[in-house]
Amino acid sequence: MEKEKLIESIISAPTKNNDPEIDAWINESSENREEYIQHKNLWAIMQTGSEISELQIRNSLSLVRQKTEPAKPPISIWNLMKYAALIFVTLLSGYLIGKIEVKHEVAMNEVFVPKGNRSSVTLPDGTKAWINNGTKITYPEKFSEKERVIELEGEGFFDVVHDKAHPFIVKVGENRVKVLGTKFALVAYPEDKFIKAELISGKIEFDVKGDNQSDEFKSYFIEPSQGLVLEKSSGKVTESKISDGFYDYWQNGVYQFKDESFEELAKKIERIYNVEVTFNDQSLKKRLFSGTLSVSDNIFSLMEVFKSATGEPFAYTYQGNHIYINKQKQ
Amino acid sequence: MKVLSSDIITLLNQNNEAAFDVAFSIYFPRLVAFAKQYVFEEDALNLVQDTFITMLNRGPVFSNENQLQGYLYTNVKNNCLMFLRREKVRKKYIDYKISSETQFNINIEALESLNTSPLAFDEIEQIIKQTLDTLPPRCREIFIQSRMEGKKNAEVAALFDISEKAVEAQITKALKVFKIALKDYLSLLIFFF
Repeated sequence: MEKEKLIESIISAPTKNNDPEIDAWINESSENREEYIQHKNLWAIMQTGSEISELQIRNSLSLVRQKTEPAKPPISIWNLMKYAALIFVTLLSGYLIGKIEVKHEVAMNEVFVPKGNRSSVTLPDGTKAWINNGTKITYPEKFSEKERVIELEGEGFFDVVHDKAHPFIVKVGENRVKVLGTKFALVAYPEDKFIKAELISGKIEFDVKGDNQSDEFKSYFIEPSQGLVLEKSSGKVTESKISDGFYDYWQNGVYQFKDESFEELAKKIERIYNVEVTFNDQSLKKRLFSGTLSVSDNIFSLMEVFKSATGEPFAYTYQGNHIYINKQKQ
Repeated sequence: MKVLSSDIITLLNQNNEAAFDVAFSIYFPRLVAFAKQYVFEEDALNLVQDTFITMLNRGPVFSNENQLQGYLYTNVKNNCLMFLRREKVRKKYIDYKISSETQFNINIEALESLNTSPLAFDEIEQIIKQTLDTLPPRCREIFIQSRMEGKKNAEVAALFDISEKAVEAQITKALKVFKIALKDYLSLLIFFF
């Protein structure tokens, strides 16, 4: 038998394991047997498994985790979520809403999703809110008769139930977003320089607070598939197209970035992975990266990808929940 | 082929969850592809999952990656052997023509003679390194990206700006060289009884 044919048979073994010609050759002599075994074992050990899909790996990993951990009840609808989200619901009874309608007291709910977690909440009117990574929303037990008002610190995606008579208002700091019924996302962390609103369908009104003294708002309207970014310090508003990875981010937790500075990315990494990032080498802060990160990645694979993506590699160390980014040792 | 940094091995020893995930994502595909050479793919998936479950439950400590590698391959090998030795499995495999009787028996024999100790992996690594040096530069680069970095053929094709067919051709070429080169070293991989 030709070597080529033997090797061919070993390479195709998983799909074709009953070739009578090969069988006859194996059974011919103990040398043949040995030779076959040697090639077979070598081939087996050299496998890298690149044909096994990412999805298969993830599914198997969660299966392994399920079988080794006491089951946790899933709270969130995000199937990629790694840990069940911890949601703290505080009932602040006696909290008053609306200065005019002081007459009846409305209990307020506060939902906080810690860093590294994602969750969803259904509001009293049936509106669904998905919230991520160190975000707090506050909403009344029951909406007032005039409008539906909630407060957001952080980021959320809203699928608002249509109700023309009762506008839905999201307060973000001093600014607010007013809608009737639509799907939109807001990114408004108090510590960030920007507030970003992105609209999928319907229409939203972005009200930016005017000068410090006045109570007036300047209103901007956003069309579907458009976004709007407010620079907090200057009050400057820029329009943009909805970002490319919008659906991936909100549906699958995959964040796409292009030419984003390491410093900006570190902020997101801190929220998504619940770590603190410290730059011991300041020059690295300004380095730009493009790529994707997924909430289901883990922080080590992520750092390794960053390391290999940059022309000049850097080093990092990990202590507790803290990641230090250092210059690469020579 | 070592891929994990020593930091990750240290964290793995401390039962760090994220470090386990990294080790899993790197070794799971390799081990499934390995087991698939001896058992049906679906069985390979289950047997490799069992290995990782055992590892999580027992929490073994490793001083380096070769030890981890040796531990995992030995465990998968033993799981496959125990599985194939069951009469029910033999019957199923032969009845469903997944493999002929000769193939079935030789798979058991091959697994029994396979050395999966950490030392064996040290040696394989040495051989692979030496063999790589004998490959033409471009062929070597493509082989490293594909087999060692585990990139898909399409990704490698994009990286080198060539067609997927050309990538396959280069890998086939490299594998041929490996087969010739490794011939002399094959005995290192095998325990002879």
